[in-house]
Amino acid sequence: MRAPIEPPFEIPPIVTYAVPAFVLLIIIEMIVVRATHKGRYQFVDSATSLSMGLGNQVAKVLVGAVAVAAYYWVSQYRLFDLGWTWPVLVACFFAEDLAYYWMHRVSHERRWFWASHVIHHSSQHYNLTTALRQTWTGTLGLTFIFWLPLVWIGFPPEMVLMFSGISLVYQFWIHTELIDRMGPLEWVFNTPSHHRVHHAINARYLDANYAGVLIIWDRIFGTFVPETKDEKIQYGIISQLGTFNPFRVAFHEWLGIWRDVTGAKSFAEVLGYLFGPPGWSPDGSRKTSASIKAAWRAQGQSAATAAE
Amino acid sequence: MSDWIILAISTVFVAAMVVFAALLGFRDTVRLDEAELRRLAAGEGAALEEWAIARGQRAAAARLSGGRFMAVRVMGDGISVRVARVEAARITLRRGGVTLSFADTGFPPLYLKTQEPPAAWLASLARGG
Repeated sequence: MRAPIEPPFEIPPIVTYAVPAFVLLIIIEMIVVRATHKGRYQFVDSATSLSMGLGNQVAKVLVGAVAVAAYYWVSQYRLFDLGWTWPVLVACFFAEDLAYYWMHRVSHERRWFWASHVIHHSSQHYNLTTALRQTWTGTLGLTFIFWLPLVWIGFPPEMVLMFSGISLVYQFWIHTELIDRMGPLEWVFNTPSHHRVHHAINARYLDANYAGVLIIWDRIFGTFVPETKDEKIQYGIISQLGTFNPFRVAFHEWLGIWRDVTGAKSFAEVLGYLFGPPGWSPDGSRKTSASIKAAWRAQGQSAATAAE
Repeated sequence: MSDWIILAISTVFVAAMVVFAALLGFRDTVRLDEAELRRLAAGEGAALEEWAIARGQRAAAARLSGGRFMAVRVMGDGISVRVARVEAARITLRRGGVTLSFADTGFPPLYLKTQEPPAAWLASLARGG
């Protein structure tokens, strides 16, 4: 067995160390929202979001080792021995962010992965507690497979895990309505403005801005949509949840998949329900992002025609 | 520090933050009325035909044009809506109200406290009409 190349320093538990800052920033945001009435909070919604964050950490303790074990297993068959050097660190930062982009994009476009990710979008609010509304089923849903190519190429597993942690911490502060546009930073980095678009359910914004740290991936792969001031953003999911119960929030889409798959009439339907876009149905009777956007475009065209 | 100790400390902080949010007054809640139901129906491309709003105005049910049915639940300062064909919802009359159930774990059965007896159209739907 080929052991991975050990880091030359002890990697701190980045996310754990960031938690006090998370708490402080949430409290500051609450006070500013109260004082300025910019942004929105609802304490039951925040309770659910924070419970989901807590449950996510419990899930990591219970099954997180599965993902780490997969990284180390794949690392045995790596193509190159990439060590802990500055050029490799820089390359790993970009590679990790690119892997995140595709994981995130597929998590919106394929129902199997959406079943885990929908949790993060299930709040009708957009504030720092929303950042902590995280899945309990990410590992069991095999989300980690998107990073396996990196360790197969030869990036050390601990390096990939380190940049994943940094990315997670980075993405915390962008979940706010208090910060407007950020000038030239908007060109390169994922910002609160870009990420508000990502959390919006307005038709024009659906399936956009999947970035983790760098927005360049959305610009390159054609999924970038800028925030516009003409339309108030609605947050959440197309069928807004009717519950604050964390267990229902965590598992509702998985149960929906189960119900659909057990009622499927053919193997093609099973595949469609599992790996089709969220909202896919054999007769097309349910709403998908594509059908919502198509209806929105058609409405815009007919309005334009009527105006002529 | 063990993971479980960190989780225990986190739980205390989560509880403290929720209490802090409540103390700051983030307890706004929507109240449903006819205008809101009309707006929601229009958003579904339908017209409101008949409706019932629960006492407390935190839940409502409506029959829409095109043989569809709408259930509305207040979620703090937000709203959750389900629209389905009448036959896709289970409507059960109970003492002092009606329970509406959908095959959707994300929208638990909605209990609608209504006037006694419930509106004729709701009673008719409960009978499968």
